[in-house]
Amino acid sequence: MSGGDAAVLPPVETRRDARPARGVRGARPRTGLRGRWVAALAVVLLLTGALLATVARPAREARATVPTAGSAPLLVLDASVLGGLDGRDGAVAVRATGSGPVLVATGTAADVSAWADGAATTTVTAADTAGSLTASTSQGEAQVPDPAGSDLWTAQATGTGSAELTTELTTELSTELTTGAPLAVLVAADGATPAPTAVELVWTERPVPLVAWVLLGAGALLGLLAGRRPPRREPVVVVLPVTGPVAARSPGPRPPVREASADADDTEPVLLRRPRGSDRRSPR
Amino acid sequence: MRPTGAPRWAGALTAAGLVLAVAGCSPGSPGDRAAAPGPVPAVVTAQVSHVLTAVGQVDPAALDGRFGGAELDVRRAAVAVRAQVPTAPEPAPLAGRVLMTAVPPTGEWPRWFVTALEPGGGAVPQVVVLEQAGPRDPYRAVAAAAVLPGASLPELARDGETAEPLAADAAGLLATPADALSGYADVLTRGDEAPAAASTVDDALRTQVLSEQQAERDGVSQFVEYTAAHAPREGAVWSLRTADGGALVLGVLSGTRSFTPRGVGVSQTLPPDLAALAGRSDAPDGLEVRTAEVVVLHVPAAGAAARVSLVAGARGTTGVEVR
Repeated sequence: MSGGDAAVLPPVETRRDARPARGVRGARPRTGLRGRWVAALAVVLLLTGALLATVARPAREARATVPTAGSAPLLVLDASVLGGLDGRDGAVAVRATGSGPVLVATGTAADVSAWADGAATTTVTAADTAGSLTASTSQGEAQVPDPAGSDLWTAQATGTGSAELTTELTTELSTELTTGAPLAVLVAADGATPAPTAVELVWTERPVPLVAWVLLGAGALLGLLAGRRPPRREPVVVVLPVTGPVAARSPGPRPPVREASADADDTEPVLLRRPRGSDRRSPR
Repeated sequence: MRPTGAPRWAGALTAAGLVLAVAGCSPGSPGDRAAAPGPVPAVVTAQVSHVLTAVGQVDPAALDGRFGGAELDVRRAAVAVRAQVPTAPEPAPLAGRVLMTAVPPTGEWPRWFVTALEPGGGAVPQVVVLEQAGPRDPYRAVAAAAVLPGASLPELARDGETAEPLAADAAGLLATPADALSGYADVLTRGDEAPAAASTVDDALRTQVLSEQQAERDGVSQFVEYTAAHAPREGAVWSLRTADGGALVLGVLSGTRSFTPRGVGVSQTLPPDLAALAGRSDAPDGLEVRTAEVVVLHVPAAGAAARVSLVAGARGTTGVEVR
């Protein structure tokens, strides 16, 4: 309702000028309602996608079986094994099954290696990033002291027949202030007998599901659509004279009589909306 | 109704925030590890707890499982004495609330760390050195000293979770750790005549040892040649940088008091505790009493106005040798 727009309007009857103009409802609000629905749908999609990608992310169990090899008293899962699982969420369980005492322990790779130094050791490494493992056995002492209870282990689990150690899935010895020491796992019986060969890694994967990305993408797209500002429409106030058709006074485009007629009476001025610039075609 | 832009922008921002939040939650993002890098300590908290629990619950029949060095010598002697002299004090277990732990960075063996334990029940806090000889060995308590009345442990320099160990010949101090230790041993041997006496603050342990030696010398000197000497025990010095640029030097001194008869016919009767250790109650040809003094010294930085001071100390008999 700028003064510039009003300046090109046809002459108006001064008697009616002082009266407040009444708005014509219906045209613009219909578009806004649709936009709000689109925005609401976008938020729903985004929220659902976000939930699926975070707290409601579905879990699935993954396993890797350590290849059996040799009769060494020690079996070491070197840093590449836990490192191969890096980036996956949650904890990993190392399960070892044997016929007598079973030990599963974690320590820094350097400490595990130092303890095993000189002993015949089966070392398991990650062959590739797909989770396949390979084993090799080194020559050395066939019998070593019982490694259970060593002060080098950051965590250990012992049992008879089997043992399972669940550890946070991290490749490094990580505390509040320190990182940087890769972790390895030691599996043994009692040092005097061969290490258990049935060793399994079980971990929980929680990848972001595809549907979450689809929902997020769709939600973001709808959000952008809803956020697009439609062509701006300036309301134009036209005070219709009580007598005579508007067209007779103005050679400009015909006013949208149909919209105005909704609540217009012949004796009342009404507010009409026209697209911005529609009045620019009027002669100067 | 005129449409406003604010809700639309809010919606767009919300959407962007959600997408960013989800991206941030995805595994493998760089924000997963916020820990600041620092040297890797030789042991982490869980290992320290494991070690201290084992030390506190050690089987008296297998002391060498968790005690070593001077601490094992003193405890073995105490057990031997108590077996013969029921009134002799029982060695207190090394246990209690952990007041402080100082762990050097991980490295080659022997590895060690220092802790301070408050036993509770009004007992004096103990400063304990735990050492691991090799990767397959347990950490053993090799030295323990009681914090002296009125003294407090200086604050240690820290780098992340680790304390900074110093070599025995580390420079930049009023005296190197090794020199500070030998200087203090000399003070216990010669008293105020020792060159280091002037640069060392007087303390309760020094007063007790010197007065005890003087009393023994006065008591036997008419018939017995008496000597008392203290020297650093080999391989028993552990030093940590303090926050003030100085050092906390923990060490063990070996003390030897020798009683040698001046002539034939002089008979020496041993008190019950020494007799229990010697396995006999007399020493016609003399004897040597061996002790271990655990000292914890604060050595100031070079150029500082302060002097070397003892913050914790302990003394125990480790053996008696009858000639």
